[in-house]
Amino acid sequence: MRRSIVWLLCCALPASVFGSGAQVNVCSVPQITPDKPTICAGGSQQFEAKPTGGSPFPPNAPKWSMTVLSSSCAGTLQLTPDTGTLTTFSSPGSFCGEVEIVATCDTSSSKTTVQVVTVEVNPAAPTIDGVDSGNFSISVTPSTVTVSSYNWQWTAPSGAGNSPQVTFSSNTGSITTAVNSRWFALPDDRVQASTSCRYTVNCEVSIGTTKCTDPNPLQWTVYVPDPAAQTIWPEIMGMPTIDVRVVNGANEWYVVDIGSLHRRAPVVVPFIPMTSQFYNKIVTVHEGRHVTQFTTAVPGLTVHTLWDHAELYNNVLRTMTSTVNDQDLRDRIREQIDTQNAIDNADAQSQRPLAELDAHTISNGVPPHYLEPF
Amino acid sequence: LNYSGFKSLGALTWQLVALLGAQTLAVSDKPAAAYTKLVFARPIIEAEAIVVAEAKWVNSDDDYVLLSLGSVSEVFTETTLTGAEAGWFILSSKRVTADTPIIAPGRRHLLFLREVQNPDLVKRFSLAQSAILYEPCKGWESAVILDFSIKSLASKLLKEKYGINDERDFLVAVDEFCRWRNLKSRNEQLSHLLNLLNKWKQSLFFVENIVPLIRTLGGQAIEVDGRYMLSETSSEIQ
Repeated sequence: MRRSIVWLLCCALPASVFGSGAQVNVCSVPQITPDKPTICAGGSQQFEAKPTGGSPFPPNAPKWSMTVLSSSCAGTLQLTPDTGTLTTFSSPGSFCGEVEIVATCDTSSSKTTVQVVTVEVNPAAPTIDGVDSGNFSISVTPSTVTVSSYNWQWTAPSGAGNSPQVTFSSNTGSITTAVNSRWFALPDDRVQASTSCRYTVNCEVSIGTTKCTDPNPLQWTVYVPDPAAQTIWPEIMGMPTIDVRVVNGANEWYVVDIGSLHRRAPVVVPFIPMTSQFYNKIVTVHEGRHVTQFTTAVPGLTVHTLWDHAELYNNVLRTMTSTVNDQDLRDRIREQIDTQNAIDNADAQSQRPLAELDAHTISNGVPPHYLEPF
Repeated sequence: LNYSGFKSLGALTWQLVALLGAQTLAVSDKPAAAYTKLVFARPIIEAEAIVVAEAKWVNSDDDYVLLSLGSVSEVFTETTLTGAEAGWFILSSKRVTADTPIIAPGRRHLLFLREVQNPDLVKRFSLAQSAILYEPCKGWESAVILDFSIKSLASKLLKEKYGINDERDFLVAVDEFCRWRNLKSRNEQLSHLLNLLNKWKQSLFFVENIVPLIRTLGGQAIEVDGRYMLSETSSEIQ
């Protein structure tokens, strides 16, 4: 046991103490390269220490160590091996901040720092097809880092159809938007494609010669609302003209003429903008066909005959009277109008399968040939 | 109205409609598919009250019709309407689109209701504070006019697709769909629905309603050798 300890002490001492007759390695101040590099979180950096005196380092020298000087995000750090002329500093997690790297040979040491930078892309909120997105922004940490340039990039999943495309308002700004967001088809199928799709948007940030991107960029959703448009059905509206007369010595409120009673036309309400690639197909053609169904005879459908205000007036309202007051008469007329509207709404609803079939048959002929039900 | 001419297209219509429905199953909430089935899974889950009642016209303005509930003849849920029905009101939107529940004044309906949360709507018709204001749940199937002589999508589907011509047969079926709500554990609920599915597996109306109900409760009914069972995934969920 004692012999082993002596041997260890002997060999641990610098060679120079044993005299000058033999060639010995003398520790000189290590020179570390590269000096003050910047790396991306999740990356690594190899350091080399060279002796400044010209003589090689003794075996197992220098020794490497590190100290965290500042950190903005938690994470693990590694420096391996901890002896030798070469070592590799790595930040496998999400650490960001400044770390001091020290190389020591005997009592001589030198140090440098490595800056670990995280890049996080903040995607825009889900965006409707054809609409300009909100802001895509980027967080670079530590915030003291000087960014020399930004380069926005996008990818779509393989197999996506309908020509995925993201056009940034600025490819090189720290903040950007997507102009006229474009929905793509996944799967690339006329019927099966989902109404929402997801691009991966990233930004390459240059800090000196180092280029960093977000290692786990969030995805940005572009979608076509479901439904993309609606047609509000016609409705009997308004009120016949009412007046009062004396009948057998008592007031009687009665209907004079049809007044403002009318059939309101169907109204198309789009939920996509005119810039959407689906506007013509869905709003103009499909919903437009529903408007035609409500206003003109279409084979198999009778919805254009519903909400007939003149028929309601002639058959029901024209002869209504009240001996209470005009409000009583108006209330009872409104009840009749509301009831007729409900009955006609129910009738129209019963024709929806054919109405949709008819409208889809026409709108399926209009590109883009996606989001089609059959 | 030339309804007879329309009806003569019935067989062809339903073939086309079935095709339409089948091909749109994979894409959720496609409007065209929504009109090919009478499925109550969503309103049964969402409804705070499921009632059969006559809707009486009370008032209306440019946007809404206010109705009261009368002649309540059956209640499927644990909610008791008896004695309180005079204070119950329903708000029905006048902006009707393809998916709007339709309530016809003076008619009996099956209604899937939820309480109106918007205070502005509650104030709209100056109802008494004690009044409870409901609206139909989302979806056209949340209000079914029970007078099958009135043309409606529900009566059309019931008669032409499901072969149900009698209001009572329809209500008995819906009653069966809803009874799981009174069971406490999901195990019991799924077992109840699975038993019901096997009992009525020859009925398209039962199958089309119970399978999505089981799915909504986290189960999956699969047919093996002519008998429905819960898949392994759903067993783990239980």
